[in-house]
Amino acid sequence: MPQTDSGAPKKQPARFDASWLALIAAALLLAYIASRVWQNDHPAAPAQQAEALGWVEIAQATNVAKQTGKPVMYDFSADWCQPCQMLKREVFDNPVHAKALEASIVPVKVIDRVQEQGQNPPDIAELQQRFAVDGFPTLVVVDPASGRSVKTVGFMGAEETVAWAKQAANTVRLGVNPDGTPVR
Amino acid sequence: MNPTLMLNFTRNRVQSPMRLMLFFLAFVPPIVMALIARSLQPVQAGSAVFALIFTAGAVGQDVSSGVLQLLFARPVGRREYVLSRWAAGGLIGAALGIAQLLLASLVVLSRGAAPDPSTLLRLVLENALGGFGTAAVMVMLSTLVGGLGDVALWVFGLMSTQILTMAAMAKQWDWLRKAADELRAFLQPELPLGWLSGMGSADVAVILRFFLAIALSLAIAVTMMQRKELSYAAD
Repeated sequence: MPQTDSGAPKKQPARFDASWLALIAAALLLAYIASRVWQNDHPAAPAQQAEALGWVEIAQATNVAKQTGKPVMYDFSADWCQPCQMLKREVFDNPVHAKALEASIVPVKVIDRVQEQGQNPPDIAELQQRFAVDGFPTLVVVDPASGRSVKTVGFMGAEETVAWAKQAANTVRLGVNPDGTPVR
Repeated sequence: MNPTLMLNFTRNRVQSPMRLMLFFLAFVPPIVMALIARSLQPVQAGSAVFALIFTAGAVGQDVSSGVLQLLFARPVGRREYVLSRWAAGGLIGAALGIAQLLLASLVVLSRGAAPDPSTLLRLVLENALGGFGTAAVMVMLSTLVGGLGDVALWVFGLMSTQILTMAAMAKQWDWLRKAADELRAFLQPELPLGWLSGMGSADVAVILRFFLAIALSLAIAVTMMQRKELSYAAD
């Protein structure tokens, strides 16, 4: 029979001391598994997801950029990339930041599919090659008229990302870096 | 939960020079980084770090030093002991994390970059919850091994998730990547609350996973404590 630390026989209820915690944990586990299964069976349609930023399709990006006079910003990301999800959550899904970005650029989402499908669709592969994307997230701001572009890799913080995008839009439009050097 | 146990635990923790040194290293540099970057980004997960520093060895050190035998000679229940350790560790982590966040906010404000009040409130809540999440995991690990072995277990667990993720990517095994993600989320419980301020929508699974990590950790910790054989003749 289990003994208490003072040597007296242990009272039976003490053995089940953790039972209510275990019950809560078991209930949460079941609910968690159920929610995951449900999410797996009912993936949210793009229209139902919270999209504060008005993403433009890759094929339409150049036309929209010409019509609006704004450069294109490609967001190269992947579903498995955690910093990409942070960037999405803190910048693109934030209505304030999204509005600030839309005032400066035409946003285009480019999601890597190598992990899931073995290879990328041709348009995504072409964009990744063109801008030499070798990590995620990568943001590229490009002026379709001149072909000038600037790139940044990694998530630098919400405010910093918005400030960078605004600066990059000016840089590619004017063809001059903030330090006065010309942009290729 | 026992306020006396919590108070004694807190006093014991803040009297450790090593922990205070680690605390200083985790507290000041991120504030300096926030000052330089004019952003709260460097101080977003402070409470988890502080909870880790002050909760490490919460039970294991008592076991190794023989304090447990003396403690349980008094009318203190084992569940009460575990929950008090968790509550004290979580409170320390949350309080220090929020203090760091508020100090960083003042620093950022002094440089003319006023933090958005709703963002600040969200970060305060996330810090408070993150502290209790990490404290629960550390208390659980601390019941499994003696001394500061819980830190080694925690680091080993996180390294394993990295290796598993890399293996999953190499082999294109999505199930393994998901398993590694789940393990990482269990070892580093966090609850993003961006949806409270209109950033995206609430993910029920993520919310459940956070509270599951806490409940499961505490249930394991209490069970392990119940099963521990403590006697003066041991060792």
